[in-house]
Amino acid sequence: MEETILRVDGLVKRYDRFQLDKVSFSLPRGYIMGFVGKNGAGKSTTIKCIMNLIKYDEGSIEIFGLDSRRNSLEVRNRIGYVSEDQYFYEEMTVEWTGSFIGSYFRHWKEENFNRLLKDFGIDKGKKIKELSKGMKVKLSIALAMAHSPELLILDEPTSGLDPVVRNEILDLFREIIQDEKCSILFSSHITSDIEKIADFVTIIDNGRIIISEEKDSLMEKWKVVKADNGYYCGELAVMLRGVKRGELGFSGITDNLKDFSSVFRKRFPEGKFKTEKAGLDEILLRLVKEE
Amino acid sequence: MLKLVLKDFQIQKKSFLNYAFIATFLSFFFAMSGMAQMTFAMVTFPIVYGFINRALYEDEKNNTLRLLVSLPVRRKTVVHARYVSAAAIILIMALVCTAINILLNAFGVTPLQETGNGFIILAFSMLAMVFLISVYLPIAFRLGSIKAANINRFLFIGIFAASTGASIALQRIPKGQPPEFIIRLVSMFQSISIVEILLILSAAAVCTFLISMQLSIRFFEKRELF
Repeated sequence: MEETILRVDGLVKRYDRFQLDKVSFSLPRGYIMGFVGKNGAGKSTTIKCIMNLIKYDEGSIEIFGLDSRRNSLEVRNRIGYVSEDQYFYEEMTVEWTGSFIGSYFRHWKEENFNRLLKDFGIDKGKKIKELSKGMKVKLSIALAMAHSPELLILDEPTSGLDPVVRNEILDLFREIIQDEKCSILFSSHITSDIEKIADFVTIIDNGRIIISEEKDSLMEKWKVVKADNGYYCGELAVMLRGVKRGELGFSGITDNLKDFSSVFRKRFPEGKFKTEKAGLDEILLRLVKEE
Repeated sequence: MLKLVLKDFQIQKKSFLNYAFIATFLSFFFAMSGMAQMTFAMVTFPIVYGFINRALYEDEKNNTLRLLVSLPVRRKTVVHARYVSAAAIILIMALVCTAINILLNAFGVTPLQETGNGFIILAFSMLAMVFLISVYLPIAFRLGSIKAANINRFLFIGIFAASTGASIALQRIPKGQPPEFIIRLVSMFQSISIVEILLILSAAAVCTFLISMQLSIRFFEKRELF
């Protein structure tokens, strides 16, 4: 049985105009989970609760089988965290920053940090304020990875980066999980990045989890259905999610193509409809719009 | 914790030049004004206050408290480190001023009596700094350094107004007719030596400092940084 490295159960966090509503998902060891949602969906709030940076109101979070609140020091020692925004002492150098942050981690390896800096093309002697936004993100990732964490939690690590750098970083993540010791929870609104590397996908919208399952079965299950407007009827519309109607036709997605097909054939024996593979972007847009 | 304490000094490397300039300027100013014994007290105050303010401000400006709380560090440790660095800078300034005082005395620049009075004034000003920091830091941990600095400004204005008011009130007391409680207060102080007064105040300062630290821990543990 696979070991569950992260388990979020019934997480509730209330703000005045927003709340996380019984968020639940889990991540087994050695896999990458893409945590997807539009801006303001609750991704960062969930991650901050996992990292114990904000207090949640209900629910439980277990990391490495430990309660994340009661064992926060032990848990944080084994996690590499990259936040949405990078916070550094701007007047200090990269080298000083590595030495300062590294001193808090039991398994910090200076040679790992130096190698990552070299791979990312970051000059150790430079001051933080001299680094571009992309360089700061890379530095954050280097700092998170240098102590060989068992769980990497990345909050929108690729946003603001150019496609070349994004690709480099995604390749790096793929490399990390090769040994199956490390897991990655990676939040993003860039679905193409998630599609490239994630094993599991969790979609959140307005503080609620819509889907949390294996990426391959998700992409296999959901199909885009397109047909002429002449075939549009209530009976078929309820079987589709995220229905859009245009001048000539309508479309939607379904996770039960067999049933849809059977109802369609019954209703319109001579009718035709098209199916296409649904990308993660399409699934997200259709499901989120409907919610 | 040592790394956090050192951090407060390291991030202010550039400011040490400013502090040295302030120290030199104020030293000359007070020496030329015939108040040489006030020099070390008046030099220490802006440097200690400036150091603590700057350390708090750097964390606020860079939002690095968010970085610190995401590391495997307890919030309590972050608070302890801030208090230790505050105590360290006060001690360092006291040692530096004492060393300079001794040197100046050895070279005959400052008369011994003035040196002795200078030490006493320095000691009182160090204690005053401890009391002020004990009020300032919990506010900073609760509200952030920028809001705390604004509140502190009113505190200083209040202290200045109170001491000015007290001195005006004292001047208005007709000679030979002070109130009963003032006579009792003066005779009480006359019966205690300056060393005893310093010891009592030091004990009070340490207690205040420790209570302040506990309060800061409570505030910081509850503060939402995100």
